[in-house]
Amino acid sequence: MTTRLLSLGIGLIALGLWQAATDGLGLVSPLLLPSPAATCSYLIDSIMDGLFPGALLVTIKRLMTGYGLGLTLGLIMGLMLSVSPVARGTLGLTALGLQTLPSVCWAPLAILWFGQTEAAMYFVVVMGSVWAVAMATENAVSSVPPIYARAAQVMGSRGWHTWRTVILPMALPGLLSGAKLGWAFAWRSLMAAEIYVTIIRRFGLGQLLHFGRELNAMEQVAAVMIVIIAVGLITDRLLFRPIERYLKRTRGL
Amino acid sequence: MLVIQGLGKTFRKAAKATQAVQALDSVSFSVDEGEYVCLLGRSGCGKSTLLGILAGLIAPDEGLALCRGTSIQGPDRHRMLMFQEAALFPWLNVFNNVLYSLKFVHELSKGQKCERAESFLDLVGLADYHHFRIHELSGGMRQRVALARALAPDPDILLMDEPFSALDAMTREQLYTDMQRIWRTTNKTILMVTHNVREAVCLGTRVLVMERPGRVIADEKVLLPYPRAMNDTALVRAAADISGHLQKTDEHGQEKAG
Repeated sequence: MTTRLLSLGIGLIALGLWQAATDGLGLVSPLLLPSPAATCSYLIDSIMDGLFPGALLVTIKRLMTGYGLGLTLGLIMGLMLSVSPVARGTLGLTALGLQTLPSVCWAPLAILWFGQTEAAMYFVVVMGSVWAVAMATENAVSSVPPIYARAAQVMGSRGWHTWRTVILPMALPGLLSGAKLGWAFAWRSLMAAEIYVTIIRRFGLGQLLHFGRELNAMEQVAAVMIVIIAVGLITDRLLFRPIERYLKRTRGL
Repeated sequence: MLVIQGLGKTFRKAAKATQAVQALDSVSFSVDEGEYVCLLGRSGCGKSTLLGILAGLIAPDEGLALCRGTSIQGPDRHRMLMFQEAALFPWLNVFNNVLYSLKFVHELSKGQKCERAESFLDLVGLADYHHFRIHELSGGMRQRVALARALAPDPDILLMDEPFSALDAMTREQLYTDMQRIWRTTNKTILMVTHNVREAVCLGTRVLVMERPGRVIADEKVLLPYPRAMNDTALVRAAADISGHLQKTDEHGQEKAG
């Protein structure tokens, strides 16, 4: 409890110093760094007039679709990698290489192939997340100690049944890390995609950030960044934390 | 019940025939109904390979392995195998771990399976632990659950691969007592691999001594009455006799001259 109060206190002092340096003493120009008060009032205004909720909705929709696709494809590819040496020699090497490529590098190709469309965004998000998910899935499955599958086989389990009732549940913690990693990559990729790919009348958070920069409206940039951070934190709490809690409770991980 | 004739197995690293390791060299013995046979030998003498073949997880190169008159082809729930680690499924609680092994016993109804799982958990002394998670159990308790899981489908034979070697000495002694009781109540045929001479003599009706490379060099009946205690003088003497067979082979499995 005292730790929490202390943390809160330190946070408030930092915020106070920031406020003092910008609005209070005018040490930093608002063109370079907006004050917390200005950012906050912009944030509230933009939420009230529907700009942020609209953009957020557009972004979340893209994220869910793109991440959903990336996760599904990544899981399928990861499973293929874990069962087939041929897949490891071909797809595995491709995944390893493409995983190191920052997803924003796909943006020029995506625009060329799909134009300024939603498809271009999904493409960048999928390319940004799918390889990491595939590699993590393969790793999660192949690091399940073979003794578990053997124990199940001795009891009479075979083939797909062993996969469904032993290998996949056993790999769940690793699969979850893969999903989290994929989520982090998808979120970054989408922000890059939204800055590059402009779709008129369907603005996401990335575009708002981009326009904020073009208009020199630093309080807009800061406010959008806060929303982006908030989305990341809330998803972690809502999507992944419950599964992590469940794993901790049942397996003591 | 179990007949093994001229069983041989050599592990080769692909393409390099020179690196072949002979795990079993024409092993022959048989196990009668209700016997508790302990396979004793140094590490690397092929004990675990033999058990793997009997469980159907490893295919032999040559020889014959028959269980109740039929040749062993692949794993089968009539030949249950227990490992050094419990290998319990951490996403299931104790009760459901035992229930898992009954999944393939199709002649039982759901209710009968639950009753069966319950009675075997009682047998191993874990009646109050049905809803515990695996990570909440001690090593000894985990092996008890593994034992209940292996016995629940009523296998023809129970194969145990050094089941007590990862446990501390006190837990082990308790399990020796319980194991004798469980074996005598269930009348199971058991083939257990161990490298602990006293453990073999304490539990087994018969002790087979193996040496490298994969041969049986002694087959001794243990005639002491049950229940046996680890520190009983007769047991210690019997163990010393068996140890004599082991000492004939040195570290490298070569027979010493004289």
